[in-house]
Amino acid sequence: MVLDVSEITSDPFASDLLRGHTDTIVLATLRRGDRYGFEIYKTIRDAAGGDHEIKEATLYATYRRLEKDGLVEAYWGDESQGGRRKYYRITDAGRAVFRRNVSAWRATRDIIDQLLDTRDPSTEQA
Amino acid sequence: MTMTANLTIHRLLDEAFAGAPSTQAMQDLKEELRANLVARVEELEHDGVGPAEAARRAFTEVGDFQAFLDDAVGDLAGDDSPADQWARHRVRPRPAFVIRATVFPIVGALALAASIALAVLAPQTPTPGALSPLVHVLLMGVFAFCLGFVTADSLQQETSSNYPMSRGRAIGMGTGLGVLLAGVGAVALCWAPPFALWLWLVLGGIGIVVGIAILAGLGAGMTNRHKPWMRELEQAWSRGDESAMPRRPGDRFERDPNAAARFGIYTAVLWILAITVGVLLGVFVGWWWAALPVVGAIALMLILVTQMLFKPERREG
Repeated sequence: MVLDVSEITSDPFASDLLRGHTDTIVLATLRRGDRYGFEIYKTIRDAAGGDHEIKEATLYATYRRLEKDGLVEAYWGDESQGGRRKYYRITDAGRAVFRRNVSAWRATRDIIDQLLDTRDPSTEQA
Repeated sequence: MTMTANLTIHRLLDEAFAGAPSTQAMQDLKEELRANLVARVEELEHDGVGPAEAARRAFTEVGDFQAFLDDAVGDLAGDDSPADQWARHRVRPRPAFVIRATVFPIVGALALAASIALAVLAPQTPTPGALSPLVHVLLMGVFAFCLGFVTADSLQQETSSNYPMSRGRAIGMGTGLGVLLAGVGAVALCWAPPFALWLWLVLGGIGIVVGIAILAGLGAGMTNRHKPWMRELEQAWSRGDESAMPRRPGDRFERDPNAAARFGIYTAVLWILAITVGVLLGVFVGWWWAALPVVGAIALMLILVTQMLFKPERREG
């Protein structure tokens, strides 16, 4: 799905990077336990400190994609006052994809750091 | 969460899903979104945001949901099998409600049975040490209350796809039924009356008429006029918003169906009285006089119309 740049509230470059990893970020929040939509959204929002936000509409697309690919599975929680909550649980395939994505991210991060020459000058001299 | 926020979420969701196919997958998505919105609204309300504003803000924050919905329509269309429809329209009652809905009718039925049994077994001549006749009245009261309560309770239950009935209206419906049943109960006591016979006939008659009037009035007034979109439209009318004006209904009875219901009930009462008095006059005074109450009733009805339909309306807050 093509994502809309205007969905992100601040610095477009950083937000773009963040949004490019929405799937992995959602998988990461689910590694700590089953969550429903708003909890996942809140975890991301709180971690980003309000500077960068992934809109809930984007997350709904992510849940559907992850579910279709078998990386998460959904189940309905008990009915509360506000209706039933749909919880997501990470599958073994989801964990494997998460681990692969994390190592890919680390490798890419190192390459980009090198290419953009962002190394701290003090460490380079040492 | 408050009722206002709940209603606003309902309306915004209904609008967002208005063009979407009504399949199980769509309904699931709507329910998932609803639960998430409710959680966000609770968070906002906790921070001191007003209910309607909290609902609107939560909804806006979701982002471009319509675009996602348009993308997902193909996936979510699917087949709408009877099994899907069953799952979608299924109502999952709350356990406490199920218990109330079971216990209260049983208590009511026991009270009715006890009342009948006492009336049948009572000795024909009063004996000292016999039960007070008030016991019958009490038992009838319990019977009418139990069924009235269950009615109000059931009507107020919320399902996941509809607006719940407002508490006032549900209680009104329950009271109407309770009064009606109490009236029927009082008439039923006539065949073995604990007090004077006429008392039960009068009380029963009053109960039945008042009960029917309450239920008829409330039934006629169920027109969605307190729903959020109607409130917004009324505000637009009172502001004199030009674009909203063409939709403004013409007369008072259309705008306020409760007034129309009251007019109907008043008219019915007026004619029942006129015909009764007319017959009495005919029998006891002379048939020439029987037409007089009819003339009076027509005059009163016309006055009623001018008072209720054409009188300038007060602005309601």
